Amino acid sequence: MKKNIVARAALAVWIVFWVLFLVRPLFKKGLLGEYAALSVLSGEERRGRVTGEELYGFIKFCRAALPEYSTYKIVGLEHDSLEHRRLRYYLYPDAEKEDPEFILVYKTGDFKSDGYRVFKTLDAEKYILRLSKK
Amino acid sequence: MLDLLVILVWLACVLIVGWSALSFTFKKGPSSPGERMALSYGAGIGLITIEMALLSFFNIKFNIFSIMIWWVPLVAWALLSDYREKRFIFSPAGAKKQKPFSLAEKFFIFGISFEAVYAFFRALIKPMEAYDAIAIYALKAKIFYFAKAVPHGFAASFKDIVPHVEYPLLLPLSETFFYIFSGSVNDLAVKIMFPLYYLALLSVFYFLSRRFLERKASLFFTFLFATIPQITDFATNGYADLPLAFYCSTSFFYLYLWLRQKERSFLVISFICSLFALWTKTEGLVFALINAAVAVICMMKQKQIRPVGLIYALLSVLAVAAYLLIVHSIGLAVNEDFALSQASPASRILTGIKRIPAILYEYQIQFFGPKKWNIIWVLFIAGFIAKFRKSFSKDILPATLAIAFVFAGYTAIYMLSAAPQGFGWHLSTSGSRLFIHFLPITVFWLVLIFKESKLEI
Repeated sequence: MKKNIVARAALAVWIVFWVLFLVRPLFKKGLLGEYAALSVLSGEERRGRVTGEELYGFIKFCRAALPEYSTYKIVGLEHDSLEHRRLRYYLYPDAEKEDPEFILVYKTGDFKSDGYRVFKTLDAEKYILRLSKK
Repeated sequence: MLDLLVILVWLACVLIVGWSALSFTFKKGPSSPGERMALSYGAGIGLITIEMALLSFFNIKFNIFSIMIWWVPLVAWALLSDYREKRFIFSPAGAKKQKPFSLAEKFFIFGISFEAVYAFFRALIKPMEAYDAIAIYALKAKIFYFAKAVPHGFAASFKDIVPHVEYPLLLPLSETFFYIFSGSVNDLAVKIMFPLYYLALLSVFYFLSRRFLERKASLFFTFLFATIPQITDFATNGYADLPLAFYCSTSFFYLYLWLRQKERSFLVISFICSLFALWTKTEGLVFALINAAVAVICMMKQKQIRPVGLIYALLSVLAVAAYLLIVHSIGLAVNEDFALSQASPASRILTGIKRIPAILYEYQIQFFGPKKWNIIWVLFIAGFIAKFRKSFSKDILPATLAIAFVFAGYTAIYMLSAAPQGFGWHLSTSGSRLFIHFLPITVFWLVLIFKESKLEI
């Protein structure tokens, strides 16, 4: 067996990169502060922080307002964006459908749709419309 | 506190099912309890999720009783069998006296332990939040949890609600299994399963390396593997790539051991892990075929064609065919990203050839990007150039072939991609993830080169 200078040099370079890419995100991406903040929060508060307080507040508002197994569509979030996916995930078993009973309006003031009336309001830009009975 | 209790009970159930199945499958095989425990974790989750799919098929709703009751005879048999064969008795006299750890070994253990603890912390500090983790896996898990089954006609009924209904179900069903234990959609605690896969993969890798290297060198390579940023990132984010890496790498590792030692139980483990890889992600199809090819080519090279090896290869190909048949019969594509193209085969091949430079460019970004991979790919390329002839020696050939086939297979995948968002999007968003799947095999390849070159750290 021979001592391998190449293996040792590789290990030295490895350790430098390891420490660099371990420590850098803690400060550059603010992970240290993020972890510190998250560690004192409850599960529900962590969901809010990770999702974004404004969106998560709207999700909680919708969860409380919608009857179970409702159908909805969302206005104000880009289709297939991460926010859209998160809303879909948290609202399930309420499901997004074409021709739904509810329209969830997020950060869009004065949105109107034929046959729908305001059902519940969180604020001027966040509210739920419901299909009015014909 | 309650979460911890749920995690412990859930983990105990997974491990005991996996352990019992391993006891049932073979008498010999993994010699170390640590290696066996790591395999039990992957096997337990794989078996329970397959059982959950079968329960759904037979209209049996999920609850702890309906899921666990079927395992009682197997567990009882395994406990009795292990007791009879005195597997539980620890004899201090029989234990090997280990020499004290050197400073370097202590450092490697510190590095591995630090990364493991940090992975658990990172996983548990945040709920599910990454795109695919939420949009695909966690949403499916929630659907199955509320339905207490995989709903009949899931693919047709839910295709507008959840993307990629065609993806295999190991991950969502394992999350559902956890929710059933916790009694709610606990999307914080459920993430424990990802660092556990990481830990299991590290354990399997270490015990595999120990078969070829002394303790210090094995710890060195396990340290390298454990500290690759891309691996630790995916040990925390709720994606299926690390579980897939566990299954397809373990499958290859035990195939490799069989090729060297011809112990049948290794081949059984390899095949089972190959099935679980298929059940985790569609990329598992590629690995099942690669393992079949590696088995046949290496037997031919060794001039020792064994029927059991041929059966293994045949069963692997049949498993892939059966998977494709089932997916086709349900009316699904293997992956929607490959089903949308209306172009003729000739046109697709031509398009694929034109994409090769872009694919190679993406590969070089990965190879020389220390942010995600440290210098592992640089070491691999340097090792391959420096030890080119040795790479094709009898003992290293299986790993070299596997890596070459994965590169060829994944390159073909990108050449044929018809992702609606475009080929460039597909390549840039998934390239770095696909490299995770065979990274453990690549680090193992370095282990073999290290051993063959009679090096010392």
